[in-house]
Amino acid sequence: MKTLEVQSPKSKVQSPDKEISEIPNPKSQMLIALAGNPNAGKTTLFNALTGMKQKVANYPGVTVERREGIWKLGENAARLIDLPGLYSLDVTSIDEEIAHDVLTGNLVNLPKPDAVIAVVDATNLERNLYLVTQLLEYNIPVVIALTMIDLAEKQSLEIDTDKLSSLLQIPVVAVKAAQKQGIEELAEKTLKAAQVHQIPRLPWLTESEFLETVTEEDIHLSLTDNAGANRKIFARYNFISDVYQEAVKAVETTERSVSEKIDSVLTHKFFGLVILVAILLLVFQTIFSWAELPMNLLESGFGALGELAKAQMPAGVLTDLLTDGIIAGVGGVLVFLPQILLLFLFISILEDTGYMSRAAFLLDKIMSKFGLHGKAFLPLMSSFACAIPGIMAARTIENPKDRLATIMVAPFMSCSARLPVYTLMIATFFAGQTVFGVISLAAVLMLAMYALGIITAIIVAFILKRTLLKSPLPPFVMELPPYRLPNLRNVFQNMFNNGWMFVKRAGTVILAISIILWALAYFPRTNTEAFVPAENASAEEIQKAKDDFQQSEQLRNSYAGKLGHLIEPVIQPLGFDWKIGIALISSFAAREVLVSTLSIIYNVGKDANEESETLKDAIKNEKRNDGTSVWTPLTALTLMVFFVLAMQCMSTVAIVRRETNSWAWTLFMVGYMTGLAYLAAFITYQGGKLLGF
Amino acid sequence: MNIQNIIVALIIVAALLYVGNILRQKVKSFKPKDNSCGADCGCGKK
Repeated sequence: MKTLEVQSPKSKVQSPDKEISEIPNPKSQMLIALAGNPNAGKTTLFNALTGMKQKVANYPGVTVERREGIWKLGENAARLIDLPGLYSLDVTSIDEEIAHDVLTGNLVNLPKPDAVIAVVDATNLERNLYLVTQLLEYNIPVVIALTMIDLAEKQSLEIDTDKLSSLLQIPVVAVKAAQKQGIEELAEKTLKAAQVHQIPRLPWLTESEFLETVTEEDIHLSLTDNAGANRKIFARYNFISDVYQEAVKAVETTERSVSEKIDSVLTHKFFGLVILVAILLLVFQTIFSWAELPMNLLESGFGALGELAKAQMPAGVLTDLLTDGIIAGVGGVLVFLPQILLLFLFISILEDTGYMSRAAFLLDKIMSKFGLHGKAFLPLMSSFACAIPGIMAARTIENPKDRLATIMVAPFMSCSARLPVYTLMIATFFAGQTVFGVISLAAVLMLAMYALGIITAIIVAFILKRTLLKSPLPPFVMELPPYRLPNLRNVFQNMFNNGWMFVKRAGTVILAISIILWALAYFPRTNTEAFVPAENASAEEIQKAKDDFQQSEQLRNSYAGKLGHLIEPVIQPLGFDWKIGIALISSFAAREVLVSTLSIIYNVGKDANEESETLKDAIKNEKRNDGTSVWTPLTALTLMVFFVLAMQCMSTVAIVRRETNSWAWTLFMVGYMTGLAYLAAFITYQGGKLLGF
Repeated sequence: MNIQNIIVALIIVAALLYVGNILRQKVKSFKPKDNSCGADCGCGKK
């Protein structure tokens, strides 16, 4: 899958009725755009047509990036471009503007499409047809792919596709993308439509308007020219209403649909929130319990690998790098793979069943009271996986101030990179404990970390919207898709895609940072001649004491140690020592680097002859000079609070700069988030100490 | 200098170059594109 490059000058617009079999060159290949309302099944259809992998979700607006693939149309192939989800083409949001530019051939390196496939949700036919009526004005052949037919039938809607086609004067094909039904017919009709280039005569267009193509100027004119715009809007709705009445037969039913019945409970202002909390607790509890065995196996596996390497390779600097740097660093992060896979499994199931939209609806009620735009929910929700797609999803928000407020708070959502940090701390200090004898403390703490991020985001947005980013909130209508059984293919694809990204990251960025950190902790080499053995100790005890002395002196005098000591006075009030300081500094590159850094500086699995020490044990056994433990449950909690709030991701900083086009806002975000993280961590640690923890 | 030291030195240099390249790419992405629509939204508009 590739994101479109728009660097070179615009290609020549090709003739729409050109024979595609004559044009093997990809640059002059037929171009087909896929347009549709959010949640109409557009992304699923895109995947089915191109065979490419893309995130498929069940809440509105998942497609925020323009994506492209190759669609094999029999012997021919076409470029298929996936437009963002749209309700109209009024060009009021960035997504609508992008779609409009594609349809008018107004983007560099991208000609005007030869045909558009309008993905229409059969259960919301009238609303979806509004976009179709606008698409028809672009002088591009349109083919309707009618989705969710089975759901429409369940809602007692009988749609006569032939009649719909003859009334709209365009081909209509019923498709079930997940089962690949109707795909061949869609290919055939799209190819024919592009070749014949027949444009229906629209009743609301005058003769001159019909003959001319809709241009960018027309759209902007129609928005300012109220009389003309209103005339067209009313004419479109009249047309849609006539078409709907002719082509759709609704069987009267007095029974409320199953979705409505479920919604009366799940979106209830009190019980809905209780159920949401219960579901999240259950998810986190399950993640912890199911991931335990595979995590332990991975931990033992990496331990054994380190021991094997140490036993087989000659002692020296390369062996040290391999065992203490690479295996400890990368392995330390990779052991969290089962939890990442389980987290995305549950997120995908919740999205695919339609529950995530209900969660959005519930939280939107709260968020809107604090000044966050309703459309902010999707970017914030996406940020739970990673802040980067979340921040990019904020493009759907029309008002620049609302968009900026959303970008400023999106990184507070606990992304998957924080998960290894949370789980390491929770598993080390809080595992096996319960609240009220039933609920696992680990799940409660995990939920608390996610909740802390959400609450902070709401408070910060509230302040920003009343000070720097003051603007009235526009009304927002949220679509609740019907409940459906999750598509297992989508669920597992999403889970494995995210798991693979985690593994890839561990094998590239984390690996490189682990090597550099190991070098910083390994050099310069320290002379251990100052070691004085105890008089009555056995030879074995002397050797062990010498090893410990060497290890501790080495780290203290290394480059990393000096860096840690440099920031120790700043982090001491948070209960952190200089070694945690090293891990904190490195985690500003990427959050999960904290885990690999701790594995390296605590020298996990250092001695092949001893029983391999896990990172959890190393953390628990770490002592200060006075013999007291460095880590306590309070220190772990303080570190988690710091990680919820601090801005520790290079990639997010880069994307915020790009999306806001402002260094000032980017630096403001890094500064206020890190300052807030320090303050909250300080309050947590000092408050906890005052309370006797 | 033994062979282990040479290999380790090469690995460290490679890691530094890799991280440096990532940083360079990030910094490069900060610069507004020539063909941006002004808001630098990444839409690629002329």
